[in-house]
Amino acid sequence: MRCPAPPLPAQPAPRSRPGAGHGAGAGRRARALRAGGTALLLAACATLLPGPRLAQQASAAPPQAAPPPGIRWEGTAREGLARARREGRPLLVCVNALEDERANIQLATQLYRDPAWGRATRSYVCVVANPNEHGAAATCARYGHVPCSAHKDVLAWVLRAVSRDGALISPQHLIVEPDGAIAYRKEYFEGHEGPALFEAWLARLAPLAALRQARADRAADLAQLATCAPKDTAAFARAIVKRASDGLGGLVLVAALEDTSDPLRRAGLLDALGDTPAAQALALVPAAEAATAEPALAPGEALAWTQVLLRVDRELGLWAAARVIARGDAPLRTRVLEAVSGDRSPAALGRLPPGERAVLEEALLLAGAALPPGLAPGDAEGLERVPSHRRQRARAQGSTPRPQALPPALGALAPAALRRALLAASVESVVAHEAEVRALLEGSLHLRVRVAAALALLGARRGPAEAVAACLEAAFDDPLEGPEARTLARARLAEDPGENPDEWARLLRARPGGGK
Amino acid sequence: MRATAPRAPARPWALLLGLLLALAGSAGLWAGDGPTIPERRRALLEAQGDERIGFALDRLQGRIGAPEFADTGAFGDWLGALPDGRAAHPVVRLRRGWAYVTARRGAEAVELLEAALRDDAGSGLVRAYLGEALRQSGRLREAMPMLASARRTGYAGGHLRQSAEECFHGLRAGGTGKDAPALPDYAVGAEAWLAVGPDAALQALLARALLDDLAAHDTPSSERGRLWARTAAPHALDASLQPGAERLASAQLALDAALALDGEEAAQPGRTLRFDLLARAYALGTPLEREGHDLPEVLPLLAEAALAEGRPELAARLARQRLDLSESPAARRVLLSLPPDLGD
Repeated sequence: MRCPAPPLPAQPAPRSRPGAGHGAGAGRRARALRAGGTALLLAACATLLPGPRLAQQASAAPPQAAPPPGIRWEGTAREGLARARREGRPLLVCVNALEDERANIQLATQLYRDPAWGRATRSYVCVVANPNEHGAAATCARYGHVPCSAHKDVLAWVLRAVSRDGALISPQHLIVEPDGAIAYRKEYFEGHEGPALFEAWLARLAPLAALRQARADRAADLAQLATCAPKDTAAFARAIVKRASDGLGGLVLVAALEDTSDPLRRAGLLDALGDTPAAQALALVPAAEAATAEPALAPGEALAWTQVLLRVDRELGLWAAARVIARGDAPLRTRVLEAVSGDRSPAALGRLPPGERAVLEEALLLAGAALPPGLAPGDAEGLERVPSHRRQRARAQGSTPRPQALPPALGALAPAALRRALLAASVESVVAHEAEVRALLEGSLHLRVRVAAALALLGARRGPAEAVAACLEAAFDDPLEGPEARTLARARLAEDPGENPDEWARLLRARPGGGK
Repeated sequence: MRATAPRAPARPWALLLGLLLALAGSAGLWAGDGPTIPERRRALLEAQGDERIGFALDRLQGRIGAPEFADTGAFGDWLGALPDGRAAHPVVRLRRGWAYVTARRGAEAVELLEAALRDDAGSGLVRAYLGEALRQSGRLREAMPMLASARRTGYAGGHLRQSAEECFHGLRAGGTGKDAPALPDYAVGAEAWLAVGPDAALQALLARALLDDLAAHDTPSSERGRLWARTAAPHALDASLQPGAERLASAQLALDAALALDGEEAAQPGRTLRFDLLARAYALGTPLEREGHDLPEVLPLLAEAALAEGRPELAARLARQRLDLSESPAARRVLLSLPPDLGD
């Protein structure tokens, strides 16, 4: 069913490969169904086998006055991408370019019109790709909602975006992140796409939108969780997150947590949240982030959320644990370390994989805490997990930062290293390298290097005051460098100029000896 | 060749001149006003020295658009028919070359201007006309280096720049580079021009063309794709730094160039050019009069680059700024990569 480049409007409609009407795609589907379980087989049969109603629809393709129910299609690819970006919604792209092929027909005439598919994709921006005209009306007779020019435009965009050789499988489905990266792409239709998958991806890519959708679509679940006996909360909640067909189960529990302050109910919900499928783990991050931002406010919640994430997704659990360790107090750190190692014995930490030890070591260094037995400073095995620049920072934070000497050949350094060296340079070192630093201030192509040179000279009270001030004033106006440059300049001035530009100008130019 | 510098070959000026002359002729202003064509012809044939010949040519040139010389091409033909070796005089030859270039008959000008160049190899003016003549005659690959050599002499006539840009467009129309083993012809030509000095507008054109062709015909991970991306990126940055360029178009150019460098630089430390391009796209995409950002997708990309540069505080700020605009999985990934004491 691989079709040779579904062509643009002026060309003939795309065609399946000879004999592919029930060929490649159908064959692949059949194998997949045999490999799958009974539930999948039944669900897939319900969608894949065309019954009389489907055959009737396919042959007639009647024009419709009212938009069909189901997925709400939006305009061109450009409009869809712009809205997705603006509103932080994923973009669902449905390639449905072969109108004489069974799966394409079934999707267009049945599944895309299914109310369940419509509900599950409500928080998406949905576009459909097809090269043909369907009637003369302003709204496409095959898909509804949009004119045929829109689905033609989408097909042209898909071809540009994903098909280097101009060939494209139809049907296929893509889920695109709001910033344009392709998060999901599946060629052919084998029954994977459906409400549960759309919800799970929504939860992963846009957790806040998914939370709103969970509130709207799972009102009955929320009501049950709010009214059941508190001791039964965990059991009810666990039943919800274990529903295979529910891509938003974890978020139903998050919504229920937001709605209750009952400690028993909350404990039950948090306990059940640990059974959330790993596919929904990212949806839990915003709530976990809030709970671990200031662990001192609610240490029990911070610990509970860390435990939830450790059960759902070990990687995310370590992320939460590191936040609590870096921000919490000593007793809480101890409890989190126990939760990570699964053991109260200090030696258990030493049995963790090197990458996990590196994460904990970094967090403890940031907290200024001593490393417990089992965690050794200088453990190099975990570098892949915690990049060296992060670990260096952790060590710098853990000790009093000391000014450093500038390296001998400044010109040989890459801008990032040069900037770091200049910002960390001691006054004596800047004085010794004044000519080189001035040359960087006046000649570097990189704004961040010029700013770092200006800050180094400002801190050392050397160099041409006017050039230093002009460079910094220009940087203050730069949206990227401005905030950081202000903070760093303020630290190097004896007084705080506040937000007054005249005061900044005066202080930046006030220099012992004039700084000619 | 003093006093012989003909006008620029730019067609608008020639048309304007022709129109004015035609109007003047139709109003009867020529009748009895100055010497006749035969008298001017005689003056040209009798003139001695480059300056006097140039003066005589100027007087004749003033009749272009009158019945005797319908256009500059006819004037060139008339000069070519002068007797007694006068047609081959260097000053006359150059003026004929100019006339044919102005009349868009560049192929007939090439030989004349090549001869003029042999007489005065250092003349930027002759090189500029010859470059334009080559362009008009379809010899685009030779034209751009010739135009660049004119620029190298310090010649700065406005028509020279226009010729270079038209030559670039001609080269691009002749081939997008789909089958080029390395850089497309238009890029080779533009690089010859830009080797003499920066030219923000042409740099923007070159960068945009290479990035578009890369998107259409290749990938940033191939050797050729990397070459195209590496060539486009510095020009995109230079072009985006020019004041007066359209803000969002420049921002998009810088962003596209940074994205094209992904295969080349993403995994390397000190991703300087990519960082600078993203920073530029970020700055240009920041609206002056309101909150928000016109290219929100650049924020998480720049946040990732900032993280790789060892600036986690900046990365945190950018990721949060992106999430303040709307949901962004890319920004959330950055937050998950931050040191655990940052990101709120």
